[in-house]
Amino acid sequence: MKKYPLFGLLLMYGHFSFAFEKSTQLSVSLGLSSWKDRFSITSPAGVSSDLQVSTLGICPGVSARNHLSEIFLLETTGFAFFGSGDAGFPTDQVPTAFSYSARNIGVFGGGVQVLLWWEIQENAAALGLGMPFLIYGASWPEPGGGYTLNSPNGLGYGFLLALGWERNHFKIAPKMGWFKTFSHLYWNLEVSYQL
Amino acid sequence: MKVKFAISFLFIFYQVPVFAYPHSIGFGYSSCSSCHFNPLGNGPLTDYGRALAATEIAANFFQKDASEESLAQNSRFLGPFGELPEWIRLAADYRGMYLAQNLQTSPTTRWIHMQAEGSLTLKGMEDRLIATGTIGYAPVPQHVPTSRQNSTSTLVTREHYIGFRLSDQLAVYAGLMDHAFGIRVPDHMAYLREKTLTGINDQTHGILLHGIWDKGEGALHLVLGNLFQESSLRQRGGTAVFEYEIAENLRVGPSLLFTASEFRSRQMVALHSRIGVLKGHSLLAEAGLAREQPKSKQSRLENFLFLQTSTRLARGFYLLMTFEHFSDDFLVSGARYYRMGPSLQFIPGQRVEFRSDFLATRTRGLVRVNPDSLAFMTQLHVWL
Repeated sequence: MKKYPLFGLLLMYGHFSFAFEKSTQLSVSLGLSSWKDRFSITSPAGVSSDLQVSTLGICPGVSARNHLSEIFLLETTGFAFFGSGDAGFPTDQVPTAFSYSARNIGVFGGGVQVLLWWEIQENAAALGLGMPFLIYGASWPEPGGGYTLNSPNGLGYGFLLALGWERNHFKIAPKMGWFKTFSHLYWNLEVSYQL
Repeated sequence: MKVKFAISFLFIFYQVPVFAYPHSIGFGYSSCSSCHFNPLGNGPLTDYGRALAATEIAANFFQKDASEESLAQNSRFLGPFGELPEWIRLAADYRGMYLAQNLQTSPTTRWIHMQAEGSLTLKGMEDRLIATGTIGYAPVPQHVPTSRQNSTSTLVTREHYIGFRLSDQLAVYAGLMDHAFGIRVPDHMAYLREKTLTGINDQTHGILLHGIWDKGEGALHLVLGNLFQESSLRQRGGTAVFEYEIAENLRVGPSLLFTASEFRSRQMVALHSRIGVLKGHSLLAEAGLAREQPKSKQSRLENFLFLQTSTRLARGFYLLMTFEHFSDDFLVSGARYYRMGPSLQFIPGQRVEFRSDFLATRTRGLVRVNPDSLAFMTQLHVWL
């Protein structure tokens, strides 16, 4: 797992070096994005339990694309995230002595997404693999009663499978993958317009 | 190309060619009425539909050296063994699915017989008059109590109707058909079909008027409910669907539904679009609202969204990505469902189709935050 950020950095390095040598296609995008995460809550006695986090929000962004070859493209997107999050215990793991539930808490963040696209048909359809790097935060309500939340803000990366579908200057790209661990899915439905 | 021309000439009665799925707009075929006897799609295929599927949509793994003419000819019910008389058409379909659910916790698996049916179509008056009926096996739904399972019929007819073409543009149909509403995706468990109550077993008797013109088509459907149900349960009313081609291979249109029975009334409105790009790539999108009003309870306003892209990797080989959303009542806080996943569709040749889907369902808005519900499905579809 530790190798993957290095892979992402290499992709980004490749992208930016090409950006200055070849023409860069810029586009603006708006996405609907959602991921799962977790953080822990600790009781006064020092016992920790995991809380599940579910986020959903919109992510406006700007993308730069460069051709690496006839059929491969590298795309880097910088985006912001504005949404809401729920945090709570799963149904089958609610502690008997205590419960915590927070709904529709504002979540803000941003990140970078690097995608390597294979153009199946030029300016029509593409298949992509990539990595999102994401940082986010939220003001989760304090649990009280001596309980404490541990590291409730997120920083991490994931992996994505993406399908790109273009018509004229518009592109729709549903993307799906993992965030931090294989048990936490990440998805993003993005619409972009090439400038 | 010769075979296309020949079949087009033979079936000039129909105006626009198409394949079995709404994604066929990606091949430049935007209307359903030439490939299906049902003008809004689904149900038995015409000879044109069979030929088109064999020569363009499916790969030709089983007949690599066959010409297009030969593939088209062999796509008929009897294949290379002969031809039925022009006035009769037969078909048989089986769809089975291996379903693995709850992959995130304790997986359960089962095989489901989704479709096992045969159909008979009779044609007359130079194809202006048709009569179609299907009959088949449907397993007893899981929600039926054990005490009633033995008495529940497993024989089902999902379509039987008579159609008459009044002119090149206008036709009228009477009988049991799917509701004229929205996009008829074959993913019958999609929220788009399951939650809108236009799913695999939600057909209705009625009279349907279908019109087609240069830049689009539409249908008005007077519905009487399913006459096999008790009278008090039948949802009676009307539905309508229209599509307008605003650019080449880009269609948009609204759908409406108003029905009521002794127990509840329902109104739905939706806007859909089907878009094709170059050779074989397409996008389907539909968004809508449904107002459900039970007689003695408060009404609720459901909303649904469906988006599916289809990418042609090679002939007969397609990669799909689906995104769906549904909420029981979007005016109040409560459960919100989001479903997303990739699918692989492989049609190695005429008469065989495989499809695998991975779907993750995320529920938000509840006190408990549960892991996503993960499911994997593999379908086998064979037909004669």
